[in-house]
Amino acid sequence: MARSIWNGTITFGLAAVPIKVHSATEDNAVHFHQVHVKDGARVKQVRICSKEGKEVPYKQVAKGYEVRKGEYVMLDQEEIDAAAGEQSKVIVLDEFVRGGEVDPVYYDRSYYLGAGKDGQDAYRLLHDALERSERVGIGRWVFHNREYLVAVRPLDRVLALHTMRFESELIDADSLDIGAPSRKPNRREIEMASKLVDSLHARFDPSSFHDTYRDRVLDLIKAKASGEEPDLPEPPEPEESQDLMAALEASLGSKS
Amino acid sequence: MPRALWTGSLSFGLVNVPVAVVAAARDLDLHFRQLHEKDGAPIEVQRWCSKEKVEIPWEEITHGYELDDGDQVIVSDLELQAIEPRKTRTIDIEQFVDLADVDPVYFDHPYFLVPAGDDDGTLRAYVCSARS
Repeated sequence: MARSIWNGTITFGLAAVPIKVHSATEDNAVHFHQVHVKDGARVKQVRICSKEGKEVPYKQVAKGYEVRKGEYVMLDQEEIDAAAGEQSKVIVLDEFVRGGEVDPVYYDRSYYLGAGKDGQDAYRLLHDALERSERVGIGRWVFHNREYLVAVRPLDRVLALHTMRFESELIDADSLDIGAPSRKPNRREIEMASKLVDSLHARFDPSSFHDTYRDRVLDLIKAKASGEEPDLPEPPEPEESQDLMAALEASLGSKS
Repeated sequence: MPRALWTGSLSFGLVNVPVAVVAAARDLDLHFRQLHEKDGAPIEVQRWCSKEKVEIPWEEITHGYELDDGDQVIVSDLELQAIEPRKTRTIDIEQFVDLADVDPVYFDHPYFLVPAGDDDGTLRAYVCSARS
């Protein structure tokens, strides 16, 4: 089992479940570094003092917070850590809600939980109770000087932990300024669109999706590494404005 | 209206709806700035060429990939867009599934899709898609 990134205890009421937190995701993205077009040399990030115009050595770098435009308060790391308060080793679950009630928009990062020392039985109990009741535990977790709202839920045979967004971090859909068409879609258009949606209905199978773009990026890199110069296709023609009804009919026609 | 992060087409079947992607979550985290301890002046991060030791303008910067043997391959934005031109312009819906079947662990960052432009056909296709 990989090393855990945090150890602690989940508590709810008087119950305590020792746990270890592990990453549940890994970054598979193809990473590039920045280079200078002229000579292929790596780009270096250099810290320049905005007053002196000279490079600043790492030892002379401090953290600051902008309190008014252009005015900064300097803080050192000890002050920041002290302000964060005591590092709690506990994830307190305040309530249990129905899993289906939590809109996916609230979920942020995912982690797996393993049982902590001597915690196998308590872990299994919590997992099975959540699974049977189809509920999710909502609580708070202090990690790396930040407090997170978290959800603890059963995922297959283990417990998953998700950090969540606070309500204040979500942008209200009503604040989007979306124009209305002069003529709303008529009943037939909506029926046909619904039929098209139904015809594309499937059971969600995550294993059937792959990052094919990433594969193509790696192909491009391999080709260039062996000296090939890729063709650049012509830029595409801008798409014509579409007749919705014709597109719906053609989509359904090609399905029957 | 928040800034559009991407514009393109939402497509299912043969229907194409011009859309723009805007953020659905805002970052409320406290952000600190690097300051020069000596004089309290804010630090600017500049991009310098490691060979010529001078600042490089943004237009002279491109992507490099380090191969296993230490050699480097240079790849431009145009080449990256060219490998799958349709994908860089289109969100292709392949299937519709039940939301309850999608485990939260698969979701990542939330965005809103809004109609791109004021074209009446676009607005109607957008409303029709949302309602179906």
